[in-house]
Amino acid sequence: MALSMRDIKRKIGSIQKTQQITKAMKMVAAAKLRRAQEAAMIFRPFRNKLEQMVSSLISSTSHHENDLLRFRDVKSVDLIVITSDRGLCGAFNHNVLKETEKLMNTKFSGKNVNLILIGRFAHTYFKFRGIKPKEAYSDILKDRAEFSNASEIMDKIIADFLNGETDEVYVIYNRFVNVLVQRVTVKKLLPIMIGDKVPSEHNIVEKFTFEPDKETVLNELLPKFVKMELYGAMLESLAGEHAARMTAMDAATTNAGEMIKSLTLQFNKARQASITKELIEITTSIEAMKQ
Amino acid sequence: MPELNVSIVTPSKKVFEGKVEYIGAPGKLGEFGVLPGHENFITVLDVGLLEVQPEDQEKMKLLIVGGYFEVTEDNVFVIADEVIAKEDVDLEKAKENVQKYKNELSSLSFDDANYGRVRRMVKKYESMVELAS
Repeated sequence: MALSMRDIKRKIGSIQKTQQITKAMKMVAAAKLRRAQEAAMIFRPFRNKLEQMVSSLISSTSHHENDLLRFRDVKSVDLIVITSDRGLCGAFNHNVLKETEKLMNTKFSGKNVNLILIGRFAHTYFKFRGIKPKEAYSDILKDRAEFSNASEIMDKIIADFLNGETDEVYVIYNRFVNVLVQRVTVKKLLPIMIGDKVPSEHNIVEKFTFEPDKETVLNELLPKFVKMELYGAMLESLAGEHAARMTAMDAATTNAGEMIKSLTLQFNKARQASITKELIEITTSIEAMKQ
Repeated sequence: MPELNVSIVTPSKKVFEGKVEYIGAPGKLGEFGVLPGHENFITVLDVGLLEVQPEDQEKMKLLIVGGYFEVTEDNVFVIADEVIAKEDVDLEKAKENVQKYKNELSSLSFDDANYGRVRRMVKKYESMVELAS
């Protein structure tokens, strides 16, 4: 027997404390998850409507008509990576970061890749690897995602896209599928493309009339759409983060419980052993005295 | 009788969905109304009051703060940045804000960077007062 009874008891005590913490963290994550999930779910129909609208707009627009729709040779790519600020949420951040590195080494190798990092985790990860991000934001995704933040970040990116510094913009984030599943998603934000529909000159049907005119509508609607896409990604990521943390903390609590169980068993065995030992000592001494 | 299928959504909630006989909205170039059978069109909305007339119900008024309006074959989508219902308006506060932003506006010159924003705020709170009273 390796550990004395006192050691085992101490160990059980410390694991119980850990379990209390993980349990509390799970509850907090669950409460936050409910709010974040609600926000993400309510946003979805809005996003879909907006996408429908933009898609019907794009189908009647040539990609030369607006700069945000314009395709060009890809030399420089912006990747927006959304992670969390805090850890203890399982593989949540790791999955996104791995996917980002994979993209950098395969699809975008040989191209100039700029990173726009949201969340402290992404920042630390790439700093450690000596990759300097173009922009890094942390502490903007806490209890809720703010549209103003998404708008600000996107304004800079749109400006870079328009003056030709970047040719494509992608966002990489965890999409909230359900509490147990968060799927790493890579979405192209710019140039705007919906489905596989590449607008061409030939099959343009003017389905709509525009007021005041097409240009004004496009100039209002397209940047808004891109910002909403980023905002949506932030909402999804936030809900995913809390879900991942909740699951991770739930697993940790269960594991701690199992550990306590096996340690208690070990403790009981040790106690029984010592009682048996004492009894043997007493009986043998009685036997010895009889002789 | 032909009807319009209207849905009004904002980033934080679905405000209205249903069949209506008439919808009126504040466009960038002035207010307009849409009846069933309207031509397909898309426009940008300004700050102002949106009116919907559902069947067999009273006319509904909502304050809308910017957004887009689309008509496709009697389906109407209104995508708004913010929608405020009559019940949510604090009349006193709205009146105060009208005054506040009007004063601010009068101190700004026409080419000031904030002019457009402040004018929108005046319009927003004026519409709020109109909505509530």
